[in-house]
Amino acid sequence: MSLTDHSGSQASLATERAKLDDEAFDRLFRESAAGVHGYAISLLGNSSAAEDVTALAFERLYRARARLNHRRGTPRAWLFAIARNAALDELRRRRRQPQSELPEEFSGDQDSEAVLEHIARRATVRDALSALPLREREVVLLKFHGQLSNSELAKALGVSESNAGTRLHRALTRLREACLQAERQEEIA
Amino acid sequence: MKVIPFPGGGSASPDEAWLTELEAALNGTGEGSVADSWLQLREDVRVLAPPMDPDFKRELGQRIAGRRERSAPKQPHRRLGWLRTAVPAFAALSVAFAVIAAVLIAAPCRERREIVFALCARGSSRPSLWPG
Repeated sequence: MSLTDHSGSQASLATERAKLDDEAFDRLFRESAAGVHGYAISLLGNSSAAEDVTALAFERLYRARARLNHRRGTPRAWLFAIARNAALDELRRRRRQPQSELPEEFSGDQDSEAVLEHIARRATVRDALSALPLREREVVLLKFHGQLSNSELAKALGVSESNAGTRLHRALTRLREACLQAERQEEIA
Repeated sequence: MKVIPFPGGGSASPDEAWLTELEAALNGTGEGSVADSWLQLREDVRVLAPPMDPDFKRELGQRIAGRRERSAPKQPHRRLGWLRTAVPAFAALSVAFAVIAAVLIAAPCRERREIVFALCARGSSRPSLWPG
């Protein structure tokens, strides 16, 4: 069973009705575990909570694999939809803003100009991402960590594809503005 | 500090071309500086997340594998395989015995009933004591 997105005209009925068999599930696990974890830890800022969300997402998907309707989204989209719900539940349960455990600095040789540029750039992106509202930050994280197509992103968010596109555009535009603003502040400083 | 080259224009709403360009860039099929900057931005975001603990990944994989084994239909033990054929045969034999037993038990009663009927028939052929 393919794990990538299918347009309705291209996917055969058999493929659409195909269930997530064990082999496909293993492949999905291998390919997406790091992405789910990356999404969760970026959103929650806590490795223990991120592991809980990752485990829960895969276990729930495994239990639901026989009921998956391929017409309503790829397994990857389902996986990230489950992970998203679990992560948002966790945020609601804790009633707190995510506490970032994201690395502040990079290890290794930091002498070269290129490395310093990378460090500065990533620090800027980190600050810009943190400055985004949760609703927009999660769109960016789903897109980049999940490597979801736009239709998969829409399924994971539970919105229409055009709505997902609008949210993604808005989030990335804000990220860009936040990056530029952070740069300007650093230049002034 | 070096200015971050950031992809995309400043339009308020996405058009199809913007989304297609983004998709192509992230799929690795896009070309040019804009596509490169999208890939760079994604890498910058992804690298912020600490990597998953390999022990956790291994344990999770084992948990899922264990769940799969528990949910898989169990194969009967080879040494007990004869039970698969013996049980239906035993059930059929039990039914047959029950039927035979019922016949044997019911048979004397029927005989008794026939005797009673025969006696009754003989009795009814006698002249009635009551005025007709």
